[in-house]
Amino acid sequence: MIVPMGSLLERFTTPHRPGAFVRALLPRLSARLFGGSVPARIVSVVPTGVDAAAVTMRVPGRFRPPVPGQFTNLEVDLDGTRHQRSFTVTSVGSRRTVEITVQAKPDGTVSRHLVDRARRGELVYLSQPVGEFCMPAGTHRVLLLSGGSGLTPMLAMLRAFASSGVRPGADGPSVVLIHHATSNDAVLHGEELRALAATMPWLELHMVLTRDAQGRRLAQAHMDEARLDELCPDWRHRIAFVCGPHGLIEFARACWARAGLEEQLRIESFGTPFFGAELDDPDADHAACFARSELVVPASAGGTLLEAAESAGLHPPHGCRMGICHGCSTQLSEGRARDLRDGSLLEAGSHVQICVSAAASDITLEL
Amino acid sequence: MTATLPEVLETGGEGAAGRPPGFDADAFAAELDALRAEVQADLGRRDADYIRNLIKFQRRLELAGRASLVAGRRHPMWLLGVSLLSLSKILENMEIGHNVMHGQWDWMQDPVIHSTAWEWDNVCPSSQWKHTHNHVHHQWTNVRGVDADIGYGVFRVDEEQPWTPATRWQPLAFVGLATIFEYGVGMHDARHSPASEGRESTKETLAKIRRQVVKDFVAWPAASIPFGPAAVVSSATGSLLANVIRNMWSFAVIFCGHFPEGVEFFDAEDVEGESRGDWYRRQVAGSVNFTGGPIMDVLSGNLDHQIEHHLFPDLPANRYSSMAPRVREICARHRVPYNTGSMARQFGSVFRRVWRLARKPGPGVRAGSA
Repeated sequence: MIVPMGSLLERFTTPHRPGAFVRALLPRLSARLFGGSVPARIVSVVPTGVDAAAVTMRVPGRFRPPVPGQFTNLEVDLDGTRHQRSFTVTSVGSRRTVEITVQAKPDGTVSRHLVDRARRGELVYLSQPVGEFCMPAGTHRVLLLSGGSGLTPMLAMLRAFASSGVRPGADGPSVVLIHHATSNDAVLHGEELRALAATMPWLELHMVLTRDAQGRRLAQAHMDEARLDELCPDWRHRIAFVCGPHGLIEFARACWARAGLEEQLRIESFGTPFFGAELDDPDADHAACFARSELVVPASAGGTLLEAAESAGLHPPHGCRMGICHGCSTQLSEGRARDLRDGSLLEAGSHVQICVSAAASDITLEL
Repeated sequence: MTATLPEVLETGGEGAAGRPPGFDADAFAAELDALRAEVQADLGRRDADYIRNLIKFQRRLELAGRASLVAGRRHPMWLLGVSLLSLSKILENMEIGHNVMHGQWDWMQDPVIHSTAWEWDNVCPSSQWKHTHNHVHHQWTNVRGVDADIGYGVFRVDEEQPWTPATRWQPLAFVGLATIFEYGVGMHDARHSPASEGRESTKETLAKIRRQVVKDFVAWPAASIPFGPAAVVSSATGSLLANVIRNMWSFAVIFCGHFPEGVEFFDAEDVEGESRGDWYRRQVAGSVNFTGGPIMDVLSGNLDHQIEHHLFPDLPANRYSSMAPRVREICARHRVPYNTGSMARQFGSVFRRVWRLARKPGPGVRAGSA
């Protein structure tokens, strides 16, 4: 019923969508009816770790409670320009408020704003929670392997475990968390985490510090199979969740693949996209033609199409810049593109996420 | 004729063959580039609010206009509907559609107010417009044989254009085209679109015409049925009149932009080897401003600052009026002709030119050229 009604209405509103007029006339109602994302007001910004903060927002009732481990795409207008970034929801259980934990990057536009400048009462928009980096029902023996801000989905899962009252299993602790941090102070929600480990018998916490007091990188912090065997001897019998920097994820992929246990491995890569693809020649130059803009620019096989477009002065719509939100999805009309996360090839006719894809031949995009 | 871009023409060259003696192109470019960078760095929330509020205002205006026409059996209501709808269409096409499609608002990274996503309330499909207008016309402004917008292939506005017996009637055609301008633009762009070989663009244009016609003359009049047959007819005539008013206004604004007397046309040989400064100079010399205040700015889509628009086609148009005095001052120092005057004067000048060039040129005289 909705669909024919919509297309009938469109006869009156073409070339614009009917929603465009509802938005102009009744902005609140239209956000309720059509808006995929919900308005959220910042309630508090509480520093945690180093250069990071837990940002709590009040959300309307139609915001779906996230499954622990899911993330939301946060939209914020900063000086007129809209930005979208993905953040794991770290709060568990509450319906009217949502907490995300943000680690500020040195030159991060959105993360710096949220950590340094966001104020109580400020309005942002949140997408409904998405993501499949979550605990399957009935999972009891898990290994959580994280580094830096990769702790956030783990934290959500631990909080969920804690509030659901998990009991220790007969053959050892149910949850082993191996977390890598540059220092004890840098651990997000560190105090809460240590308190959980001290009071919850089902949680075994291994904190691996990657820097010494002077900030020098510690060689022994490097994760390898021997070290994993030492910290969690039964890792082969656990479902593993890995989230963190590239090196950690690359290690996990290789290690679990060698053991033939890929089925038991769940990966979430945050930050810059994971460029796992092996390329014959990442410097090979192709020509990317942006058909609508009538522009042809060089695009290297190892760099993203989004970067190629931006360095040519285009501002293609995009969101997360990490392959999550599909805000940059663009029709590939000619040639082949390569998804730099896993090396898969995309053929003409498909949609490519230009923020994580590169040209694999001369290509034409509907951009 | 399809506008094939001459391969030899590359802006960013060493210097145009037709560069006037004494013109310091690099210094001219540096000053304009600096002005551009300054405005670009200053863009922010104020500008974003401007375009978002304008879009919201235009949509409310359109709904109010349509509502008045639906119930517009009586004259005052009908007149109100026509006025609101005309104004709405003018804003939608000029200050909103034309400028959004130029990418002026892409920096906001709004997925809707974006050059790749915007479609306008006009029979010419945005994809074709972006080719013939944004690319061909803006890059090759007033270059004979390349810029298909010189007289739109209909009018003889330049002495170098050939005269045919049909040219005699062009003052009449001038008035005629004004009323159906959007269709003229639609046909023009379909003809000059790169995909025209496959008839795809014509098909695309026809599909868009159908959608526009259904909206204006079927869907909305049908909504008046409860008010009786007279209301249906007056709703349709109201739509028609609003379209005509929008057409005549945009026609007037656009023809004032490049065809008044004194504007320069260029030969392909002249622009060969153009540097950025030469390109800037051609944009100024080939464009014409007209005067007016903030109301004229918004009604003309800021094309009363045609010169600034041609220099900086992808800067938000709400900035042109504050840039204009500085552009004018830079042009004065570099002795680049900056043509401005009242709209009546500029339009009168265009009409006189169309009138003058309608006459058959005398034998052996290449009128107007040295």
